[in-house]
Amino acid sequence: MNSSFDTQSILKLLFAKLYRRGFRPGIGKYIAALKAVDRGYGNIPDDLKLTLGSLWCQSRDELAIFEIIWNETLSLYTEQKQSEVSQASPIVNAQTNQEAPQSKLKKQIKPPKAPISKNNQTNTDSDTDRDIEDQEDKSLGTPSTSISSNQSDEIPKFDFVPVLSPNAKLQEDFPISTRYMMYAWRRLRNSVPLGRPDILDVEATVTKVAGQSFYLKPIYQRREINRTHLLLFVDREGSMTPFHRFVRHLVDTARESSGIERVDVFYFRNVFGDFVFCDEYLTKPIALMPIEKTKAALTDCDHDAIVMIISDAGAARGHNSFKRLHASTEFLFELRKSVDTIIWLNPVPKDRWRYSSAEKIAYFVPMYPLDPENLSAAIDHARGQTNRK
Amino acid sequence: MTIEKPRFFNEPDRRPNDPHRDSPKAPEPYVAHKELIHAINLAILLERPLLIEGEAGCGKTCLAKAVAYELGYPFYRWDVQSISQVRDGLYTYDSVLRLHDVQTISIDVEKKRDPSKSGDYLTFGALGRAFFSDRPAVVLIDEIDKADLDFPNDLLGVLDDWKFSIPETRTAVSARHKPIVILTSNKEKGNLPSPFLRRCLYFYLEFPKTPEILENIIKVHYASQPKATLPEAELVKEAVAGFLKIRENQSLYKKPSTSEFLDWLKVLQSYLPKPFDVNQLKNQLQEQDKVPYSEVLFKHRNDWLRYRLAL
Repeated sequence: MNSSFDTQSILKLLFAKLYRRGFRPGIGKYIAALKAVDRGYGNIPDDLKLTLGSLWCQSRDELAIFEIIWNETLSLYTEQKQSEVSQASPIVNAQTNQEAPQSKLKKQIKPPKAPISKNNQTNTDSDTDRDIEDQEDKSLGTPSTSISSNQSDEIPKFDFVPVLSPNAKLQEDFPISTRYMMYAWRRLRNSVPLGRPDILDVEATVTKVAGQSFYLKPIYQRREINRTHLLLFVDREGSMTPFHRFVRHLVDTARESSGIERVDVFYFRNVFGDFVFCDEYLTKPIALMPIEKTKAALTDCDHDAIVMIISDAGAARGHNSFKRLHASTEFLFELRKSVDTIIWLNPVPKDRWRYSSAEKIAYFVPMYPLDPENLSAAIDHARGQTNRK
Repeated sequence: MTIEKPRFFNEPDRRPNDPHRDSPKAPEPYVAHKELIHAINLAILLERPLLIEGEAGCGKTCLAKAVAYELGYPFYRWDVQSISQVRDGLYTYDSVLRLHDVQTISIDVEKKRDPSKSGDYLTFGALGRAFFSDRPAVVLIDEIDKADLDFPNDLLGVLDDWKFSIPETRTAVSARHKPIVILTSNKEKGNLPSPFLRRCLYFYLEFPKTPEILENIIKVHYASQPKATLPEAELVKEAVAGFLKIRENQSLYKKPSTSEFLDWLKVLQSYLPKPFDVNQLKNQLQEQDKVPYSEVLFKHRNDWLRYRLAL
């Protein structure tokens, strides 16, 4: 097989398949693969697999998926090769038809013993018919059975079930990547030079030296710090349960990687009631009502603070609840007395807001769906760039 | 005409007779399987950085040294920190010292530095030094995931063109030979930016799973340390079996690594005047399901409590 191993066809097949599965190796890496193959790093299937795995995969998960696609592609390639051989030499057709499926079977799950066709003659005569039937079988999702007049040893493959190795660790695949979240939060800044004075100002130092004609000490400028105060109100449990991990990621990136000086997070369940909670398990309550307590909860929160509420606002279940609407508007009304910027982030897509409480609440407060583009727009809004909504 | 690229075979004896002065002086004991060797040679051929991920302590960092030793190439290591900037790896410029020297020039006449020469205040970092070598350098950028968010993007420009400029001295530097760059990361979130990953080759270093590989690692490790005594085969066998069994425990908070295993083996062999008794070890590991010197292997309270011997 090695001598006739056509790497070019494999590369094309595999590249197309990987692209369909969301891999984006890019044309540069395709050319790099050609170069590597040309220099002897892919003359045999095992080497080619290693080369392409290193070149075209970017994570352990991708390597695991690559393994599956590689096996699929290799068997497809083998099939193609065999059919080419059988077309090129019809005399040996009978033999090929008998042997090829058997060798394939060994690799797959053992089938129930199919009765051998009465005569191989029919089989050899109608290769194309058999191919068409197989394709129909596949497209209908029905396995070819032993009662078929044309004997076929095709067995339904379960390739479409991606069986990863038990050691493979799947990583999150959120609508917004962690990195994107970090960058988005980082744009939310109000930088003031109040940090440590450790940035050497060469120009000012030289000017001072020239002015006083001797050098005493260098002049340092203060580091800038981000004085933004972000308050997050996060809806938990109920219809928000499917979004827990995603929202936790959003909150964590705001807390740990945003560079924002102060991030306060409060949690609530479903609607703003008399309490919000300090922890995501809703065990440490802080009283909100009466409204004086809300103000106490938002201690030393000035008007420049930014409030973001993360909740589906009833859109997940399509509820149009007056209770929710009333509670939310009452809270927002009071909150607006303390802060200028309030933004609602809704993890449910916008087309699902219709006829639900979310649609009504969106009239009171700017509401953005939680996708990359709209998170960016929400941050712009918080920065005072309200050119779009 | 294509220039033949050097190849790495993981055979330290192939080291050339005239290694670079910055090449590692001592061989790095390393057991590399053929997939890893293939990936390194591919990175050398395609002149692309090789990103290696894997559990902590599975040998990511030692690899670059092993490559540099065998090829006789200079080795520069850059340990990335959260405050690291790409410029730190290329060069640092001491403006304060220059200002100081300008003032003290009349007092200290024997000063080696000349404030009128801006280059005297320039120091090249690990990456910067690789630009001047007479042969390709091996640059290890260790734990790149620890860096600031913008770090990989800033690095991209340097790794693409192998050029950088120094505004302080008004000079531009181009690499004489494109270095072999090995990057390590143990973050499994995959949050290096896509444009950066697109330029790299990727390899995931699996933990050695069979006793044969672990025994081979022990053999190679001890062969490089003439003063250390290789434990008896029985003790090694028992320790390896016990260690692999521990690694199978999915409820561990942090699985012990190869380097911790080697430390543990050393303790078993040399902590007491006599090596640890094989039968006792077998009994503790298999019958009691406990581990002697558990503090060497386990770094998490719950793991340690689970395996420590009762007092």
